[in-house]
Amino acid sequence: METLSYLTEFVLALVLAPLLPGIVRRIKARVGGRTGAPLLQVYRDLWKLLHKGQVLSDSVSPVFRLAPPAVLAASLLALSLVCGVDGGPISFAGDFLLLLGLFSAGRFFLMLAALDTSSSFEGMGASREAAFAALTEIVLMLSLGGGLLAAGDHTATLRALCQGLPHHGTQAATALLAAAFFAAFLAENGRIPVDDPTTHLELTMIHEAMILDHSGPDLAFLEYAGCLKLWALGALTTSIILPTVDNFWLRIVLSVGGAASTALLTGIIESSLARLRMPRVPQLLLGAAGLSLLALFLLVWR
Amino acid sequence: MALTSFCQSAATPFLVAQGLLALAGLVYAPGYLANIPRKRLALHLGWFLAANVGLAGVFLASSPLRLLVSWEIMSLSGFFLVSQACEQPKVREASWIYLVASQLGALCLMLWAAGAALLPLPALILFGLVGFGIKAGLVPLHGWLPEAHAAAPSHVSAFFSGSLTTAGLWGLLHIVEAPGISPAFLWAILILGVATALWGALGSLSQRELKRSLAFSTIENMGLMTGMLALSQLFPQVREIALWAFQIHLVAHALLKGLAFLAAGSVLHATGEADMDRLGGLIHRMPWTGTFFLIAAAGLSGLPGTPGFWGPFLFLSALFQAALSIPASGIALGLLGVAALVGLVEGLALATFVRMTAFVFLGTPRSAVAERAHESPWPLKAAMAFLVGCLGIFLLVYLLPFATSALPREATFLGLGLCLLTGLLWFLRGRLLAGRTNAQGPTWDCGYHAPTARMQYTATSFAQPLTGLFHMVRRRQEHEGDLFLIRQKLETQARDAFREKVFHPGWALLRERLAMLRFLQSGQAQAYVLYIALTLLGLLLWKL
Repeated sequence: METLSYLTEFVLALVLAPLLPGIVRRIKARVGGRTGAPLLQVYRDLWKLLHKGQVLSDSVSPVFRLAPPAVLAASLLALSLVCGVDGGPISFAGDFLLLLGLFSAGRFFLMLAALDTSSSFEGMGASREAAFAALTEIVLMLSLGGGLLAAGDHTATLRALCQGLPHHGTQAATALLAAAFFAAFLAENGRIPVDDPTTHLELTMIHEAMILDHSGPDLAFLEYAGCLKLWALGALTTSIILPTVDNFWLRIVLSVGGAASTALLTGIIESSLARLRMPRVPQLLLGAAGLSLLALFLLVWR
Repeated sequence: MALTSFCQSAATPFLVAQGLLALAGLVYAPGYLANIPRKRLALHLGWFLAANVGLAGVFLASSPLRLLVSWEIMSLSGFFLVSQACEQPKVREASWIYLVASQLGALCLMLWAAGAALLPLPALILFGLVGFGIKAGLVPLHGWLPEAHAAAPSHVSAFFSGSLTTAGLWGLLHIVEAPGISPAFLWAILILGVATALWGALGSLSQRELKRSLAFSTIENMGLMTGMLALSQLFPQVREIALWAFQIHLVAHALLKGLAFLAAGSVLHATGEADMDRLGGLIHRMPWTGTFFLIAAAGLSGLPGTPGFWGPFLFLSALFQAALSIPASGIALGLLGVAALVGLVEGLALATFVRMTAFVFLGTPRSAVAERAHESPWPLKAAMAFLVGCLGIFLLVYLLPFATSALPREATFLGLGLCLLTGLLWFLRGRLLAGRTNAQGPTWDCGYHAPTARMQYTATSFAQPLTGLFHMVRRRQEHEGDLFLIRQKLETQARDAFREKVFHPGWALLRERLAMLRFLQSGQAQAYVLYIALTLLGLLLWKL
């Protein structure tokens, strides 16, 4: 039953992940007074890209072509880790560190591919990505560590983290940790206020700048990997908040509903905020780290 | 010594790393130094072997005296290795810095060894910490390390980085295990280690020379391993994990960093250019070297599925587990703070290795020398291939058969899965593209269709957001121009605060004070005879 539920969750995530960016876009359009593209537009885009040929830049090496498979593989494995948090087959001490390691692996190849094109826009994107990712690591370590402390479990696993909130007597700390983790979530996924996925100006891009020269199936791989990452981190966020359930159907509903509601929240944030100026982003991330530190103080001396 | 007890000895990982790097160095050296006279090459190899004998002596020493003698053999032969290209003033300066640093370290070690019965424990630990810390490059004693690594021939840099510096860790291993050491000292060592790691990672990002950047990354890894050692003594509940992290990372770092240095040497051999801002696109001209460097960079960034993943992963995991075992105390807070810093160090390491790989091997060549580069001769390639083979064997033999319960096997499988899945998707991608119209064109530059190599991002600009954020390694810029700004010059340099603020004024002060003793040296033979007579008289009186 455990395995069946795990597999169902995983397959559903694979199928439904492209809905999430659709939801975010739809909300932004509605708030902006437009009808917006249909929810299934991302599927159509992916389908179209998968059937195209590709245009390669003159300056690239095989490393450029290696990036899309590596990024997609990393996202798939990250998803396989997250789907198991409520009782899947994979759980071990430090599994959340491996999750972060997988995202790092994807980022490593994506940044190399960006720099391989010898475009200064892509160099700029990679440079910003490297800087913000390094700072996000601080937030993730502190907020996940705080979450584990709040859960009161001695095993450093995602499963211990995902027993549901709030724990007795830790409400204030938990709220702070959730805010910090959500800031890291937005930064990891390249969302407003850190990065604007819909901008058309290369100078202000981060993630979009890095994939300017990818086309055809390569671009489809990267876009799909982005959807999976959004799903994985979104589902993780909700399973941290919601308690563990044993009912098969309820678990499926919670998993899908959780990912969708994070997309909803992201959409609302994206329609109500503007992207921060680049020098402000480290302040946001270090502020989030400060929040988690405050939460840690509250937890340790409660 | 029986084989089984040998394999269980703490010295094994140190000796394995040393032996493999020495072998690779012996293959590499004749190719790398092909243009020097045979006699000098023979002499150089002699010093290389002597340094190795000394180092092995350090690891196998059974008494403090033997340790000190081996230490000196190793350090002094190291001086002749660094000064190999002594025609260049820069190399001579680096050799002197190396010599002074290692002799100061040796002095501290003599006090450490001789004072065992006389000095109180804190003083002993301090002497040991300084003596071994210099060799391991712990901040603020790291100044010699980038200089020596940049100046030495590349196989020597590889040997220094992967193995000679571990002599310092070998000593630290014994210091943290000294009976009666107080937790305060262990905490200080843990924080010192993490601070070193952070300093090394930032330094690595701000350097323009490839080998100097790699040397700073060595400082970073030495810091991490020092942290692992301190943690293993502080918390018995994570002792096993922390020691596994240390052992695995010791060998993994030696092989990966050795490979990176050999590849950097291959680039230097092919282009003669050390500045990353003037290289680029070398993977097209030097495919073997480029691939080898990519493997090393992936490993040193700690990506899952590479040997370099385990050290930082187990270290962080041990930090979290230790913190969770004592949830309601300030110590847990401290441990999570350390974990956050280690996370930052890992993020910086990823940035610095992406930077090295991309700006040396990818993109378009930024200078004529990079454009004319050629693949290196076979001894260089063979030495690198040997290390890659060792890495593969290390991964298969040491990590796959679940040598210990400390390594979660799921993580092993997921790491392997990452490699296999990437391969599978690569194949799928090829199948999708087969038979379609695939075109080549210029890189997208906002519709501008005459891009030049000089429009590319450079290593310096790549690192700017991070080096700008951490002001302590900010670059100094010097403008110099004529009245109408027709000609202008801009120079940027990474600076090391310790060198500028501590060591320069410190040595200047010492010189000034020592100058006060100059009156003793009058130049009159009679006076010198008087000194001898007075000394003898003094000794006589002392013994009476």
